[in-house]
Amino acid sequence: MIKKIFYILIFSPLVLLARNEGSISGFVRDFTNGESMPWVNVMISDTDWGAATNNAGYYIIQHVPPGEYTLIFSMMGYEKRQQQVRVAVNEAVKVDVTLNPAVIELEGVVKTAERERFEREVEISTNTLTAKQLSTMPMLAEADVFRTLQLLPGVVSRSDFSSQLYVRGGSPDENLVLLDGVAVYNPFHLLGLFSTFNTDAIKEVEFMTGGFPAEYGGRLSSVLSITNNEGNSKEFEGRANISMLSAKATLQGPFPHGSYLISARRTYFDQIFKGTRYDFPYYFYDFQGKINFNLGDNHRLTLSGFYGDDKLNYDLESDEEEEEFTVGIDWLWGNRTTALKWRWLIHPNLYSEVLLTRSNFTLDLDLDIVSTNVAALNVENGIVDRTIKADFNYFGIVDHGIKFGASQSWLDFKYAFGINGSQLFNYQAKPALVAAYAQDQWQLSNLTAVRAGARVEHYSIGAYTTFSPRVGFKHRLYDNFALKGSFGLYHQFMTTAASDNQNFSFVDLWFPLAEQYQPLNAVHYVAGFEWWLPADLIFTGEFYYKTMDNLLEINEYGDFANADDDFIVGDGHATGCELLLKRSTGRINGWIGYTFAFTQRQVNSIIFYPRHDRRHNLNLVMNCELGKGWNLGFVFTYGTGMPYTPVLGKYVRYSWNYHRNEVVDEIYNRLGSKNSQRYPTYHRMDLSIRKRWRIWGLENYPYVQIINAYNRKNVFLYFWDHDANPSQFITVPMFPFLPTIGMEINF
Amino acid sequence: MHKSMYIIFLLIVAGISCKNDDPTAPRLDYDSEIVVFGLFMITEKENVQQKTIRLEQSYKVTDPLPQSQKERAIKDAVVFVETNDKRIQFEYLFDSTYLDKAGTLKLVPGELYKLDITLTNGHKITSEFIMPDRPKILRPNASAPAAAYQPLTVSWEEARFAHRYEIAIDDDFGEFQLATFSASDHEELYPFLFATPNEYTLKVASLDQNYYDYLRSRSNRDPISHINGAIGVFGAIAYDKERFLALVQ
Repeated sequence: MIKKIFYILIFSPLVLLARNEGSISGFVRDFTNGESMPWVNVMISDTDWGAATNNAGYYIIQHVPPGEYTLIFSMMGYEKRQQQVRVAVNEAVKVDVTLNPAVIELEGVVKTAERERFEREVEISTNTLTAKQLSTMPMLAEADVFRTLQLLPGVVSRSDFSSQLYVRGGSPDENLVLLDGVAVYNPFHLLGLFSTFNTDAIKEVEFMTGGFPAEYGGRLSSVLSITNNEGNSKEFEGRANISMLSAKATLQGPFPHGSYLISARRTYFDQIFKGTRYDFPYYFYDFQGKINFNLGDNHRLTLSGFYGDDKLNYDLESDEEEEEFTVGIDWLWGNRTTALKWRWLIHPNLYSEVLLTRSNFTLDLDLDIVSTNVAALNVENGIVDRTIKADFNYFGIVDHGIKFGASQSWLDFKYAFGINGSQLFNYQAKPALVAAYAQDQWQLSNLTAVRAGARVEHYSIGAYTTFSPRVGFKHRLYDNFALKGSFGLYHQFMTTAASDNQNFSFVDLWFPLAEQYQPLNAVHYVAGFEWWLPADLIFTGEFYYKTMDNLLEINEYGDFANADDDFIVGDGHATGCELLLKRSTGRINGWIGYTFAFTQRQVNSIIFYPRHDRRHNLNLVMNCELGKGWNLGFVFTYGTGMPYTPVLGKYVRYSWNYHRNEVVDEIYNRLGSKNSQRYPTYHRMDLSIRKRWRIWGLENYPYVQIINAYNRKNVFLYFWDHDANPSQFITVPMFPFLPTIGMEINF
Repeated sequence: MHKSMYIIFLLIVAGISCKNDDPTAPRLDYDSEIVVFGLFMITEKENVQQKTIRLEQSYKVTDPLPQSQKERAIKDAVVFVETNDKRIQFEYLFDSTYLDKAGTLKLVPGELYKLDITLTNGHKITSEFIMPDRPKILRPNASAPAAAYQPLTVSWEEARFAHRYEIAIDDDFGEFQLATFSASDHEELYPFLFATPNEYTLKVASLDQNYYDYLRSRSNRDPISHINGAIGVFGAIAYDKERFLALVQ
């Protein structure tokens, strides 16, 4: 009975609107490796009827009258393909095709994926990066997703030492990071210097910096969705890469009824110096795997996993004779994600994905202190996120793209501290988060589309239920010029223990919202334009205003005896203008991004610019194919200095010492107004040179990368050394001139 | 992209990269402030009390800091402490220290003490606190030895008007020292794992809120201040003391 009702609800609009017409649908894949191809243009020759493929490479053209047609599949970088098809009355014809990469790119003739998106999607504040763009960008030692994203408008990095993202005035914990749909909580290696994701396995990165639709929730500022390659289903393929940071290898190939991909990376300094007096106590590794099974035409199962750890093993010995001790540090932290995705084409009009995921961040710190006795200290922190999620795409109503879905997450946060086997502190919280959403993209006319939706979330601690409406529109004033805008309400139910005063965060400690705290919320208002210029240049401009309420910051003055003052509540707003001139195709591609932005926060009645408030931010990113296999990458960044709180004065601060039975003194700083001064302007130029070389039938890419090519002394922080009198002003710089080399081998 | 755009790129980059100055200390505007350290203390013997007020000035961070208290001292202030309708003057004696020369001020738990300082330029500094009672240490004590190399449980009778407690343990040789805060009437001290068999001194002090907040303020943050017209503290502690042995068990 339930099944019957379900089918009536889902397919009745189709029956009503069928009018004896048929439909053509199917999947488009890359001929060489079988990867699904999103944003392929599918048109019926000599008509205006057409569609574009979605992220899974699926397309559907509805309401096709009976007859014989020629389908044309096209995409920049691929040979155009034509396919004859016959549609009978009420027939749903399935046409799956593969496209061959083109030898010569026909610029301006065939649409790019970006052009397809421009014409068909209401996308606000969305940027996509391909694996090629990631790999050709000059980066510290090796390609890095987060560091590339830091070069986009609206995104700020607080220092060279951190790959964290501050998006449109938001904090790093307000970004939802998804790897193949699985939330990742601490996506960093080497204490935040590098992001976790191995770019060799990545197919595409989609980054939404604001106004994101109802299908995403749980964070205030942005969504970063990373999709890994599915694996080559046609032939075995491999890639190896060695940089000054790590060695990595990626293998992919066909599998019975599917494909597989495995990719692994590990730093190697610890192995090189093993057994020498320069023993290197740290390494990290990560491993990613993916297996796809095609179960008939309409079902596909994908099992994917990510496992990455950082490990520090170090013995610290005191050098003071009177206080002899050693501290053995054994510190392991890392992420593990597992996902099982079932894609089911229930009907040509109804496409579904069900996702079962488990994401786990673990931090385990063991300190063995050996002095007159031995004390074994253990600190454990973990988050486990088990989620079940179902998403549906319904194409049954003409001019509407309907998406709906629901999810439930069972979260488990743990903080424990013990000595010699006795547990002194054990905090555990197990909130549940239930969410449901529905959204529709309605093509009002050839030129105007509206996307409207809403998301409802229920958080178990405090039984908070939130409603988040989201609306966006795009109107094409001219063929190449569109106006767009969006409005949305966003809620968040967890936070990290971070403070604006921190210079550096080694690791993010996540906490679920306690009952006394209201859910964090933000309202996004975005308006802008997209303008297609000749030669596939796209010029976009966006103006945004964002309010943020109930933001939580760790209370640095918190009284240890008061459990209710761990966090202080604040609010803030951010406003700005972003301009982006981008070209993704051709021998010379890249972007120029400029952001003019203001961010303000208010905490404890103090209004201040947070330390990620950057007034002007300019990024020039260029990739040039110079011919004969040479490739030049160029990145230039210019930004207003970040705010900091200056030390204005100093005084002798006395206190009573019970051991010495006397008053003791030390020199304390007297601070100025919070974040009232700014560091000097930041600017840096990075270069990379790659050369394609064929040796023994293998494609080799040796490369040189230069960070901070002209050795700009950008300031990380200032401090005063009071051991000198008068006190000495010390500047801690960021990255100096830093050349690195590496080699990539494809087989 | 057009060639002219590349040329514009390069000109921008070249222009900016030429300006590669070494960062210098920022310009600082700072007027010296008055720093008060007023700590009234009841020791383990009820009749042994300390009442010290130090008055100094702060300095611009770039200026040399005078090494002696005398040079930093504000010597000509008029300092009064008022309690229970008595108004007692503290006189400048040495270094930066003002004392109740006649010793007429008695510290009584539960009483309110008000500070009233007037500088020669008329600037007023005020603050107040309620004197906390002395906690009584229950364990360990001279007749109840502790175990060396084991966590130590310290307990005491709660004191009236105490905002928080501070616990300090040390041996007589400076090889083992430990200090921590508590909001309870007992605390389990794990660092005592490293305490060798020895004789130790334990002090448990009750702190008023002014002094507790002063202690938890850090150098690179604004101090939590309960004093008007100056920075620093006007607060109180009252402590109990026990000697105990730690033995191998």
